[in-house]
Amino acid sequence: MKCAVVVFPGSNCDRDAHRAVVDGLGEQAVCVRHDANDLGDVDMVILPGGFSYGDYLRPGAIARFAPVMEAVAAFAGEGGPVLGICNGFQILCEVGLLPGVLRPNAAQRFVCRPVHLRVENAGTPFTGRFRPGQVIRLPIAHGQGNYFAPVEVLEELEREGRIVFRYCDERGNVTSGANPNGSVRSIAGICNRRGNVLGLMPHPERAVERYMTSTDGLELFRSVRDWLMSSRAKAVTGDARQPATAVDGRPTA
Amino acid sequence: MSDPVPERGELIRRGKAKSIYATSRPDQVIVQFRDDLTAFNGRKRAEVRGKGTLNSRISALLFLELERSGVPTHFVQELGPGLILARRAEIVPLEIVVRNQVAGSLSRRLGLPEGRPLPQPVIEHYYKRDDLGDPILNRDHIRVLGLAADSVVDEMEELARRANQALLSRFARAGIELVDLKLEFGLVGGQLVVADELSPDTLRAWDAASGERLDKDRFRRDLGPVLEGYETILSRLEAGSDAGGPGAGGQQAENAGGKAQKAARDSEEDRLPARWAVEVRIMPKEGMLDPQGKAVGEGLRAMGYGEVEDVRVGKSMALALKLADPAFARQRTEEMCRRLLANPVVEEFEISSVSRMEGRS
Repeated sequence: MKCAVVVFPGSNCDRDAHRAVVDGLGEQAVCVRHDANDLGDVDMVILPGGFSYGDYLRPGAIARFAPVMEAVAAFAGEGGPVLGICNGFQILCEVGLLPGVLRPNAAQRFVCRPVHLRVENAGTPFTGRFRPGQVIRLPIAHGQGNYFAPVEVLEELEREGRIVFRYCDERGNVTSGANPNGSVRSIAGICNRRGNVLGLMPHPERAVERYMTSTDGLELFRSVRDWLMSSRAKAVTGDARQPATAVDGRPTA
Repeated sequence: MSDPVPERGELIRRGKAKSIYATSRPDQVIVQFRDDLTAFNGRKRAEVRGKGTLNSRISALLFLELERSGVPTHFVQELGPGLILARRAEIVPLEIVVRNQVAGSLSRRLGLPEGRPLPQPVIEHYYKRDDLGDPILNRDHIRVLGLAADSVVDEMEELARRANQALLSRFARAGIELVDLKLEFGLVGGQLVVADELSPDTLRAWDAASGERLDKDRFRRDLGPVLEGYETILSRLEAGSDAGGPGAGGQQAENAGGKAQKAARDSEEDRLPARWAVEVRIMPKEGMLDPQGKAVGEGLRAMGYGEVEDVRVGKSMALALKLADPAFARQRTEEMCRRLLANPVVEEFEISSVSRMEGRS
């Protein structure tokens, strides 16, 4: 398995994500620059945390015009798993790959601490190793993680099981006290309709080794690997995702 | 974010349908799309008011589509109705035609019925020479004339195929069949780019449902009002575009026809770009929790301003645009707001003013 970690000017969790895949998971990872036109031959894409383009205008607003985002959108369109962490989640919302928006935290403060999350959907490519309702622990570190979407969008997310993680207390109760940023319905992470694009504010790449006090993040990466291997086994002919048709047909002079 | 728009300089070349002007930048030119319509190598002529504006809009949309598909073009940006800014390119005197269905000269030359789908895109080369009537060439002819090296022609064909593929699907989404298209290429610093225009003057576009011809064949063969076909193409391309943001496509499409006609009435002089100062105000939507405004309000009350009931904090932006008329400046700014400056989920925007700036070109 090979994972592309996209690096924007201002990304600052790219090395952590790279390390989580290489050292934590024991798989390959490459950093791909914001100005690259393609991702190379990869099985997964991570949009890491940070402050791409200085969060100018709105977090993620400028990053969505980086050339590499077309390749990311195409990769997602072909069903490849795309994980947006923190700023990566903000970018996915600004690009329109996920609905809604991340607003300034309700308390107007940057929040940096471990939080508990309840796994609401254990059937996505990212959560196969979790049980439904399982409580996991990951760190958060953001100033704008206050998820918002219009009520009709929220209803659709609920109906389609696309709310993947909710903030909760250590016993799994979703309470306002356990909501660190004011997110509507305590939403911490959502996925697209197909399930292959996940955005979340907490940082799974910061919970992959024992000294980090939680290895729940590693289970998320392992889930993606499981999913890739099983979907590959299911594919009748080699890779489930076909590369774009090559253009040939140059005349033989 | 980008460089300022250069000033318009002297006329470099006046072609059959477009005029090319120098700019204050040696590497850029302004292309003016005129209302002149010619066919059969200039033997049939007309002036169709509004055509230039439509062709420049359609060209801009299609150039952007090619850029998105990784096909380089000379297009830089739109400057206003009928005006685009382009990179100065050294034009290769060789036109590439890509055909998906039989039409026009191919039908006459090979005796095939018009409208027959071709099993593969057919590529043809034409010599860009008005005095010879733009004759068709084969690869040996090109070598004999020394028009372009083999490798350059190979690359032109490759780019033409990719351009055709990208435009086929763009038109298909608009319910239009791309029957064939003509491409001209230029060299910019050694790189081949698609130049000239991409419009109903240089491609054949048929309505997918009815087969109605929407392109210049209407003029060549007197098939109906020319402008209506061109307007249909533009409005369908804009409606099928993801560029305008949520819900914007249809509205733009409705406006396009009327705008084109209005622009056509404007005199040539009015169409030269001026500079417009545009002010945009972006606020959190009504009823949306505004933590920043709330904190500021609490601060003010703590200072003793007990009368403060509510504070909302937004953003104000000042843009300088180089465009021909203020209505277009407003329309473009609205598009910018929908696409980037405001997030419609939580913010609303207002264009508070559009005013003329000093320092006209």
